[in-house]
Amino acid sequence: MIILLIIIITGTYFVIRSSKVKKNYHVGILSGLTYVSEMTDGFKEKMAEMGYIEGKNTIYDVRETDFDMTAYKNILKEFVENKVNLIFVFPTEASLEAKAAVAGTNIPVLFSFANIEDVDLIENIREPGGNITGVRYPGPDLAVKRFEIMMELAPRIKRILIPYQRDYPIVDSQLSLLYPIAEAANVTLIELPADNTAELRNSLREYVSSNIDFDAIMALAEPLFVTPDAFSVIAEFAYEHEIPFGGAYMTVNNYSSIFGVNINIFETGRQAAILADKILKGVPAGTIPVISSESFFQIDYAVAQKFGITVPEELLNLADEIIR
Amino acid sequence: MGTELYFNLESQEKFVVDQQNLITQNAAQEIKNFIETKSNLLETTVKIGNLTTVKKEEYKLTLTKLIGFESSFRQIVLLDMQGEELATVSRLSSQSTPVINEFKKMIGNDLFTKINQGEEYISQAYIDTVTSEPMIIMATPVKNALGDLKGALVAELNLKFIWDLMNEIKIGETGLVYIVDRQGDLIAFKDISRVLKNENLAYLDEVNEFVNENISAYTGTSEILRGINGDLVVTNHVNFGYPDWAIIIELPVFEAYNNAIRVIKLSGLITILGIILVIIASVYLSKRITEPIIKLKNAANEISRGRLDTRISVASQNEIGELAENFNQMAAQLHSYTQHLENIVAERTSELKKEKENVEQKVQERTRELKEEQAKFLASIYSLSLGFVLFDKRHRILLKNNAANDILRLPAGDLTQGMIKEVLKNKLDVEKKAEECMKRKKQSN
Repeated sequence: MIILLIIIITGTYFVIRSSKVKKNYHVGILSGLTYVSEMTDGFKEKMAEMGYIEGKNTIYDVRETDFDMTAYKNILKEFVENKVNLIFVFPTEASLEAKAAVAGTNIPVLFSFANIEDVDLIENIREPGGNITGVRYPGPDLAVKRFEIMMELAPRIKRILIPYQRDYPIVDSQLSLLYPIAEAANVTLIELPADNTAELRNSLREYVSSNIDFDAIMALAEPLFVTPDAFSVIAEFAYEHEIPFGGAYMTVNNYSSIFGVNINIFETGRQAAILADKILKGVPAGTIPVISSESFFQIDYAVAQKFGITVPEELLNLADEIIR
Repeated sequence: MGTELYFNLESQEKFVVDQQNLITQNAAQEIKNFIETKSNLLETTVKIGNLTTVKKEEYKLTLTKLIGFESSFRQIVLLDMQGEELATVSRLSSQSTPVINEFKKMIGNDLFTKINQGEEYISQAYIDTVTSEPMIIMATPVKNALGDLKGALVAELNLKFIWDLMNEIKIGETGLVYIVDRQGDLIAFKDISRVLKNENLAYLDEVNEFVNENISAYTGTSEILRGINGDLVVTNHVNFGYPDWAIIIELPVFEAYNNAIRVIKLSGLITILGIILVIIASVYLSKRITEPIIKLKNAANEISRGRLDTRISVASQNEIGELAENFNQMAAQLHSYTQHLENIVAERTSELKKEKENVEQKVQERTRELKEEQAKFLASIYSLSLGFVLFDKRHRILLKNNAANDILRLPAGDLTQGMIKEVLKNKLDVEKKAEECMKRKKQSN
């Protein structure tokens, strides 16, 4: 009888203890732009530091794709069907799709590398509302910063070519800031919208055949420039015609841009993880203020020299990373 | 157990207080170090950068070096004694002009009041309207080699680091930590939305204590008060001194005294368990003792009712078992004796029966003989020619023969001595003669 009692008590103890075992989390990650896929690594690293161990109590369903709205929709639909605990998504378009996909569910969305200007992503920074929050991409501010740095690197430039994805939603807000600043600096902006790399290539060829009337190429915060194929086309053109280019720092096929002012993608992933932790602990996503990524300024000193550009010391002092 | 609980509570309280003190002091020190490091950086820049002697063109270079070196500086401005801008460096683009202007607006009279006294300046914390991040303005006086005041080096410092620190500090499982300024405004807390609402916590007793303190002193005492979430907490605070903030630490009472509560629960559980076990053991043991005794009693009853074949089975090796064994032996012996007695009685009864039969037979024979003698006697009496009448003491006629009837001419039927006296009344006093016979008989015996 006594042995039976002891067994019952011991069993009860272990049952209670096992019921207190931590919950398992299922996080769907939609990496919607290869250029920033490092975001996932930063996110997972910080999550692991906070106790979300992949394979133990956390499952990550990571789906990578490039700028593809159909793919975004399908992946997000799967996440919703699988009832993930959280969707971590980037960039802007994928974030917008995620917001639509979870409507009517209680799945929270954590965005990153997403612009909030001119898009219906959040209500406001302090209280984003709905079931969404994230790390904003300071697109307009970065666009202006890129212009300013371009002007410091090459003060004599007068015409800057701005290639971008046609009809990309946040381009207008960046251009609307740039135009007055460029005008004040006596610089003309030449827009080059394109639907894809092929159109971009054809457009640049036309310039070659007719007249290259620009003396710099600058990237806005948009996906076309940072797609590897498109970047290769622009870089080849720039190298061939010795036209300085930059804005978003990339290296593809030994071609590198001169500078990039962007966000630290890995660190942004870590920032997002802090918000993810709050969400997974039960804080409604819509009540968590949106935070901003910090800018990250890179200069490729060697490439600058290749283009005959003397980088001012002040600019070097401001750089977060000098690539030699 | 009461004493043990009391000392347990005492030591638990001390442990909580010590732990809180350690955590708050560490956190406060870390934040103070952060602020002081930035302040020292500004001072060093002023000294090494020779800001009072270099050309104006080099101001910007120095400032860009500084901002490039320290990522938490968002904007740096060099001002002359009139507050005029000599150089500005910013991480922000020119489109953030409103932010820069706001920053410059915030560099108000307070700053120069301090600077004119040759002291460093730290502003109140504020939230950036675009990034929603906490910022402060720090300023250090710019002096020449003679110690004359020449201006101020002012920096806007991003305090996001403190928010990250608040997130990382773990106070038990559910404890909280937050920072308030001297007015009681919340500067850093893991629930950023409350910071963004510019919440004032002076209504909380612990915060109020800091707000009304006249000295920058570390109190070192924890109290149970209402916390930031309205629950009862063990709370304490540490003044930074510089800047004029305090870090408040809270631990819910139930968690703070979790160990003691657990001990109480465990003690209670063990006590209840012990009582249950004692009851079970008592019942079990008593059953082990009383059951055999009841069996013995019942068996004794059965035996007393004559069922001498009654036996009890007690499968225990102790004294009860021995008693049962002895009882069984006794019962067996009793049974045996009884059997033996019964046999003897049966035998004797049989013998007596035989004797009785013999006696009865003899009695029957003797009776027959007596009856034969009686018959003979009666026959001889009846055959007598003499008259014979027999009387008892009560003068009742027991026997008479025919001769008596004839001689006395007695009537038929029952006769009495009176009737015979009547017949013999003048002839024989029968009664008198009878008495004489009886006297003579007695004398002869």
